[in-house]
Amino acid sequence: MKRHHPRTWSDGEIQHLLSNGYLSGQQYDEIEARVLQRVARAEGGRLREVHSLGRWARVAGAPLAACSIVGLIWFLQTRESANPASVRGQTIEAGTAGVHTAPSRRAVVPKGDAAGDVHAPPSGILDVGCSNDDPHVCHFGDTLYVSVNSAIVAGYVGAYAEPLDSHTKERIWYLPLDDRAVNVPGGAGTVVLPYGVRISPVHARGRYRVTLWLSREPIQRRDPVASRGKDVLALDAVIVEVRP
Amino acid sequence: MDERAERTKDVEMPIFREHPGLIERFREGNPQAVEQVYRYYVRQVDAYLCTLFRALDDRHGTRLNRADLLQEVFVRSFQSAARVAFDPSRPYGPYLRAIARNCFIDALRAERREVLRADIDSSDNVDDQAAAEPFVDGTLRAILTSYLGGLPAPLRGVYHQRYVLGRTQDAACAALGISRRTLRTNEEHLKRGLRKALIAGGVTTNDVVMLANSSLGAE
Repeated sequence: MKRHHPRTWSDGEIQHLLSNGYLSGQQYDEIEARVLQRVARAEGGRLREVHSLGRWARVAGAPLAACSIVGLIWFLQTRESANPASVRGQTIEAGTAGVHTAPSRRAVVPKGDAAGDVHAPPSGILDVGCSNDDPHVCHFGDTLYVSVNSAIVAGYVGAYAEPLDSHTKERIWYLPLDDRAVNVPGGAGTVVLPYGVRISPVHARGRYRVTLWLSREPIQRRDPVASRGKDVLALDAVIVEVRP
Repeated sequence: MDERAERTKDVEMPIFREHPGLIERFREGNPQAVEQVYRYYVRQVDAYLCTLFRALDDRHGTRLNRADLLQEVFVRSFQSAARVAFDPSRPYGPYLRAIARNCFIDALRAERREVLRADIDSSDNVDDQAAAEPFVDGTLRAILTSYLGGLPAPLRGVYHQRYVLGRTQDAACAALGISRRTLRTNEEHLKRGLRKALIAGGVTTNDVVMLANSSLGAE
């Protein structure tokens, strides 16, 4: 773990310059996706589901949608067989994960709202990334940093990674730290935690699902939903690819 | 429609008058209608938040993130109760501005910051064009101007659609007659080119962190 220092121009800074102080069209797109997601969540998922279907139909058409459904079924079956401990409807691995078509690689998000659970913790609040053109692609030696939108919710941060391309599904725990919990106070907007994760050889090459959450009380290194579901204030999952 | 007209169109023609029937679909939560309203107003609300940030930054500086605030404005505005309660005979732009102002004040209070009503009120008199005045100057401005001036036509088109007009992917693709993939590729070229120009110009990252602090909000 080491403190994160930006070493190059971030995508946000470049976009800020290009748009002369305004946000860019790309940022508007991302905000739109989050707005529709949050409004849909408050309305039991209807808005987002219809929206997503409409976009799919416009962009890819029915054949691609059919392929994606087959792929999703395969994906869920593979994951369930690889992780027999997960229980449907109880953890975010348990059949409640779905493929999200937003531009970022926030590719797997908990979709409890789509299942009618309006009390599922909100997503889109936590993120991870490295200082690369594509922040969700990290190279060995890079530092993975965690950002939290504390304007929306505050609490204790937890994070772990699970390899998606490896037979071993062993979790790599990032937060809480070995000796202490990490608290993010509210009201500061989007903040980057002062703890980064060195992409060391403990990470094999391939894709990882990084699960992040904010909880009311510190949660030890246990599954955030299965163990203390009611304390979880926000929950996100981001796909990060580690390359040599 | 020129850039200024694009940014201030709600003054002349509120969206719900321009598109009869939209209000019903919007109230029902029809996703296309909600998306249409968002796209119509997002730039305008962003410009207003710009003026609020600038009014405040003159004396204080803040760590608030404008993108987060913009998101919050539309989440509040698009909640079911707010959609149903809106009176379509009123213009929607000022309604969004009022929500933006409340979000801004709430965020400042959450930061335990003193809210200076005069600062906020004075920003109401600043038009959107003033908000778009260059926020960078000196070396950065020179590098940016030189870089943008030398852009080839395809990248210039993408720059205009996505960064000057702030259009969404779909709208920019339609205007330019290109695919999403081409748009994304050109955007990456655009950003990569500016990165190179900035590095070649000897500007460090820290210069921008200071300048853009109020809007980026990152620590």
